[in-house]
Amino acid sequence: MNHKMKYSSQPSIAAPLSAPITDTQPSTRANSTQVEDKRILLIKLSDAAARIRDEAELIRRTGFTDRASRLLRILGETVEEQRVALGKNK
Amino acid sequence: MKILVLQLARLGDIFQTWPTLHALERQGAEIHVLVRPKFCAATVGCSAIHRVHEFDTSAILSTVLDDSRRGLSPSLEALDSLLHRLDMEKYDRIINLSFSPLSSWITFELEMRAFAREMAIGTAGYTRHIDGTLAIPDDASAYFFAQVGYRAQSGSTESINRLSLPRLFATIASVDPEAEDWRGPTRSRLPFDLPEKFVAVHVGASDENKTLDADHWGEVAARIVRRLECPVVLLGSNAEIEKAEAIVASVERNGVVVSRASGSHSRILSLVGKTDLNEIFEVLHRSSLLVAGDSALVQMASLVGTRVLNLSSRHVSHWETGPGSQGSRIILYGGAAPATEAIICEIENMMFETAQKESDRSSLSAYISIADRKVAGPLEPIVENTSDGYADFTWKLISAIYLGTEVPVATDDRLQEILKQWCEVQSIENHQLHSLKMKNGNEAQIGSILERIDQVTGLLVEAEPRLGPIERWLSTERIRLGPQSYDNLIDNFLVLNERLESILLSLCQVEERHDGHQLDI
Repeated sequence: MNHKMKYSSQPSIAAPLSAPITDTQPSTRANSTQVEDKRILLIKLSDAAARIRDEAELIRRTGFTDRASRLLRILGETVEEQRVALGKNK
Repeated sequence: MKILVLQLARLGDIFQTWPTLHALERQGAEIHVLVRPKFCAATVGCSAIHRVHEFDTSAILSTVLDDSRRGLSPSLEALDSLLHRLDMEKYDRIINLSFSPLSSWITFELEMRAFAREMAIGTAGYTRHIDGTLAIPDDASAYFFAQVGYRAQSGSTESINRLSLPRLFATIASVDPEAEDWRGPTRSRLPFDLPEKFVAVHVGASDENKTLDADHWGEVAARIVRRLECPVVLLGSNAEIEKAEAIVASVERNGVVVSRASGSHSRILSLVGKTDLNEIFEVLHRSSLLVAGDSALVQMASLVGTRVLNLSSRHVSHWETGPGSQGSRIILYGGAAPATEAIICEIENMMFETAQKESDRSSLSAYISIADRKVAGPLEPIVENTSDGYADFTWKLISAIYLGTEVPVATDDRLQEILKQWCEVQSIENHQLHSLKMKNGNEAQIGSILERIDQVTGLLVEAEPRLGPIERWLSTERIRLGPQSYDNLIDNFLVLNERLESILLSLCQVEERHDGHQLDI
């Protein structure tokens, strides 16, 4: 494994790598209740994403050598994947 | 050897992973897979899998979604618990076939946990460097990132990759699949009767853009029954029941009386929503042919060797997810779906081929197939030439970069002109990189020149998209360099630049030969 050095050839934020997959696959003919449920889920996902971002200081402080930072990042990606997929299926 | 394979995509991707899992099993590996609960059923019947682990997004996120403040810790604990369980399996190798940021972080986390136990773990597929940047350790995943995944990144629908996903997965896992690795579950009895001979139709797909509408399917099914005198069995999931009912109604409007009693004498038998995946495998096994858009059933048919007439919309890539069974055919369509008559003629011709084989008749059909592609089998040689010369050129270029085949010659003036300009830009970049290496000149100034060079390269590719694969290869290889010392980075950029020069010169027909990576497909 490569270890941390001073320079990286990569941009600071990696581009998405492939289309996200969601566990929540809404029907194309969603009725109004489903639309409302989706709206609420989207709000909840956005709240969760904001809460995880609040913890970003931890990542800045410790980098990814710290397990807590890495878990936070995985959770953030899980939320983001759901959020993007839900947005795409609007 | 104990291996964890990450496959966090959908049903079809899991079925396309089966040949790789079978090939790994032949090497004596104990194989575990990590999948999403919703698609877990696609692992049932795969004899190579020893254990299935689930990445249960709903369970992990439930508390943080209920209360983003107080629920964060329980969500992190749920995630930690899953990763701990996986770490305790003490895998020798992780093969990530998911190509998503999430899967790359999971792979990285498992590497780090093994590292903390002072164990080294081999990885293939996307992972992360210690600073969190993307790591692409193997050439096949780099190929995917550059030439397949770019469509998701850019929203492009253009597809120039001609390697099927099963073969790409196998290459990432470093196995050589054999024809027998394309196999389904053990044959089983069915709890319902089927006609002796029938055509199966999958009524849906993951997206309605990838299949025909109900009226169209109804017309097709009615004509199969009337003209070919062959029963039709409709297949699909619970979510497709409504569509299946609309298809049956359309069949009746097209003059075929449909008996509601199901059984072996039905001319139209709808099993939509009534079968599990294992039963669908068996139905496909017994069917003469599957007619379908881009769907998981196409991949299931490939595993049991059933021929497919694949109606492939331009929203998907038949090269990647199309059928692999020998004798399958693919009809491509853009805006409007293919005409019913064309579909029926193709089905008739495919059925006739079978009848000819069975009775060894010498008469030949006068019908000339309109199929855009005929499949020679799951391990068929990569198709070099099609009716699309533009796409052929781009594919040959990709093949030259990654598979070491001959670089195609740029024959038209426009391409030559753009190449000439790119060569000039590349030579300036080379000069600037040497200045950085020798510590000549102002670093900030050189940095801004290099940035400008990237922009100009982007413009050149925009003007001549056939050269896009080169730019995507270069930028991906630069990403692959990962975190390293400044001096090493410059040296490695210079090496890549040399390879770029070699490709550009070969395209210009200058006598220098390209010496790129070679994927072992």
